[in-house]
Amino acid sequence: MKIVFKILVTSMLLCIFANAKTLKDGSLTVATEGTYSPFSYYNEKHKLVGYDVDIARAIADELGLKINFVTAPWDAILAAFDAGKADTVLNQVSITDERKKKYDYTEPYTVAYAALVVRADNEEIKGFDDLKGKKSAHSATSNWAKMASRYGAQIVTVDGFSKGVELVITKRADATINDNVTYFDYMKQRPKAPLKIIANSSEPIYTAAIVKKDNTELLNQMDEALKSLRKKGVLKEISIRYFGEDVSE
Amino acid sequence: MGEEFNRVYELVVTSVVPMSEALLKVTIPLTIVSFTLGLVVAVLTAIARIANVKFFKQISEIYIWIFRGTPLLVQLFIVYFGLPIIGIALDVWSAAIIAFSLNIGAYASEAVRASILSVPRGQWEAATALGMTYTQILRRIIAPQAVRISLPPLSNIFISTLKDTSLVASITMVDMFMTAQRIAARSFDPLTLYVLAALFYLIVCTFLTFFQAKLERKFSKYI
Repeated sequence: MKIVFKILVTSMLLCIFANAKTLKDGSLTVATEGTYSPFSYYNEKHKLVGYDVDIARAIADELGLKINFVTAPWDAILAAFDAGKADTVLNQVSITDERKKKYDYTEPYTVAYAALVVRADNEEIKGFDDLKGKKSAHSATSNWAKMASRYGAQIVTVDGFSKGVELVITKRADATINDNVTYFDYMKQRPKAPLKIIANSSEPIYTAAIVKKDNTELLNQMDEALKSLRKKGVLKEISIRYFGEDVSE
Repeated sequence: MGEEFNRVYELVVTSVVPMSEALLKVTIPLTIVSFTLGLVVAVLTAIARIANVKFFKQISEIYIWIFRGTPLLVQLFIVYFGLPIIGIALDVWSAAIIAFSLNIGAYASEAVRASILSVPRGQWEAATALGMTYTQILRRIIAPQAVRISLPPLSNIFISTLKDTSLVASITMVDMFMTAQRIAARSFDPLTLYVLAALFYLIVCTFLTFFQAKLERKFSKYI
């Protein structure tokens, strides 16, 4: 038992010293999903790419920092971030009042519209109001899940956008809500998928990076970086690369 | 049909390399390291319970009760996401190894204890009559037989561990299954990727089964 105890204690001590990185050691650690195409995904060459990922890289470049990524399913990302495993999160985090209480947001870098997606042969759901009592597929803690609940939908929990769509196609869920550009990308990859966008929200949803409340220094630096990237047209360029249109403002 | 077949074939060919890489770099090392440490914990716990020293016996029983009574996923979350709250910020490998070893230790200690107890009582008495000490009896008489008896249940635990490592994706580790999920998210073809992942696990487990049979033959000479 003593040996084991020693092993445990030493490994714990080692890990306390190897704590989560901050700006100080010249690198920015970004948490993202890695399974959320086209925002954050692994391409054919198994490199992490996407709109949010490229923006994170650009921010790090702008600040002269090395970049590290930590990937996890969305429901675990905030837990990882709270536990100090990352400096910031770039993963289409919608700005909501509830989250504002807990985190600081940078400048928004996406203006998105919620799209309600159903199977192509679904005649029952015509708009958001018809979600009442229907099954909608979402990650448990996502903003889209909250939105669906507000309209009275029953949430079917998945861990990622691609699984949610799969449930709608296989009729195990009636609908899902997500960024409209996400669907355009999906339909590009799977033109034969039996899906349709039945309604778009008229209100824009802003997404931004989040930083810990007590990390004002990092927040200010990231804001500066985003402003400068916007001015240089880098944000627009990244957006056009992935969506063929500018969603950065 | 031909077009579809080509697409799936391409996808499988491009997926095999990164998945094998994750298998060799994460899934297999994590399984081996955790199992080895877990076995050390298991043997110590089993001996503590058999030796009947009150304090150690109680500690062992509480430990087994907790780790067998809670899901592995919850244990992983507590170690990785929960402990930083009280100042213990483990990196992901340490967290995974600690949670897995303790979990394996609790299960394997029962297998080890049963194997030791299954050696007939009379042999203990005979060895004592020959003037052997407690440690000598354990090492020379009991252990060789207990090892052979514990092989099937321990192999079971080893094989379970290999498959349980697929849970580490939820604590930001990129194991073989997470690699498959990433490719599935990009290609929107979950069926191909998950079947491929299942095949990978199946192949590794088949090897392990052969290996188990070999070990059993080797240790049978002590019985």
